[in-house]
Amino acid sequence: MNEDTEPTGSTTPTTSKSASSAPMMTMSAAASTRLPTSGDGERPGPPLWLLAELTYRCPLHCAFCYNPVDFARHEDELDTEGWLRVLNEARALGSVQCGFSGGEPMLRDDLPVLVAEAHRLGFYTNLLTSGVGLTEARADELQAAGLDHVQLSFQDSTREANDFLSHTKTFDLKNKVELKVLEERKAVIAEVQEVTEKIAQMSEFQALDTDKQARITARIDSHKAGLETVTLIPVLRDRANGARTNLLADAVNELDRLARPTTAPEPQPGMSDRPATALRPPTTVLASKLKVKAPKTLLTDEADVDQYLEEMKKTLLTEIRAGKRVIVN
Amino acid sequence: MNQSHDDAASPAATTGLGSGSPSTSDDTTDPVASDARPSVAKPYRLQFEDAQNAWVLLYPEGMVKLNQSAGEILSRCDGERCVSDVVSMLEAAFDQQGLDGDVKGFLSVALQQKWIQLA
Repeated sequence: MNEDTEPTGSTTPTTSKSASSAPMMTMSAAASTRLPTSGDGERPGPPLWLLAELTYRCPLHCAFCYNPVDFARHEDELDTEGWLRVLNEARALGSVQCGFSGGEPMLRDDLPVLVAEAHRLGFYTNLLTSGVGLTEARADELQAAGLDHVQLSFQDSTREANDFLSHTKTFDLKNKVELKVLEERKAVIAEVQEVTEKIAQMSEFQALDTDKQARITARIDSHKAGLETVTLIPVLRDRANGARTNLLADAVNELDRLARPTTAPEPQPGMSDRPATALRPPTTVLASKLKVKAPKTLLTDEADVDQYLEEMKKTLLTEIRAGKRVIVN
Repeated sequence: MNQSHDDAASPAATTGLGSGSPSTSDDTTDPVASDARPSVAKPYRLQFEDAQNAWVLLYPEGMVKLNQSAGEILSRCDGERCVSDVVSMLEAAFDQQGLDGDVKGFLSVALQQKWIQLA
């Protein structure tokens, strides 16, 4: 495989000794069922990309588009069954990436069916859309069908140029989709901020010198580094979730480590080759990760609540008596 | 990190697919702890491709084709097993000892590439 052809995309891993990245190839929607052979008879790799141009219909009429202009003949489009056959054939050839494109693929009512089949077959599924017609309900439906990735096209960042280039008034609509991404990004920042505030309130943190405080703050802040380039909503949700579940515990452990006295213990006979700071098990535990032995699955009255709280108290005290500190997050 | 074994002990050498152990002397890579529980991170997806006879990592518009040892390691990282479990499984599967350094070396590269996350 060529090492000089990097796949394009938002995340482009570099090659390493242990893994090589393969270039992506495109193939037309009409998949041949036989692999081509090169002149010297050597068999090339499988066609990795299936770009499925589901329709030439489009609500936009962009001046620069490569779309054929005689798309009035859209009755000639492949029907659902035809596309399902193409998906199966391409997957059998070894295609791994499927791009649903057009025209505007959102105009196909059978899109969720096609996405679901592509996902079932093992494709990494991408939707290339103008965002017109991408309501939250449809986005949820497509995600449930197994859609992995959405590419939203933008004609311009200004209303004037967007609406001029696309010959439509779609600027506000596209903005709405972008706003959803911004909202998810803000959720990550809010989670990180909450961790920062909780840590700042801890007496152990306040007792540290400013240098160590800065190190901990920087460690927390690194969780939101590069956020502005992340456009994938699942990734943003994952980040927010990570901040919620792991970041506070991580920061408390780091705080613990920095707050510990740095003087080495008295060397003992036979122990001289041991590192001065032996690894200690984590001294903190997340409250949300503790399993409370609930007496009932459904709590319906005050007695149930009292009983549950009693069990929770036991669980928490067990941890504390074992030398742990419980983080409430 | 010092490697207490020679290259013949790596799963890659066993299967003749070349070295599966990236350099572990890079100061910028974080060491991966034995009790960390790695799993494939979003938006990556790991799957075995019959057509390529290899494990691949898929992501938006791209693919990383893994060599056999990388595939054998990553396919065992399910977020439940810790690193030492994965090492034991590989040592049993390939009848080898001392794979700890190779596995951790690869995982720290994978972590740097954001292919995996640790719990």
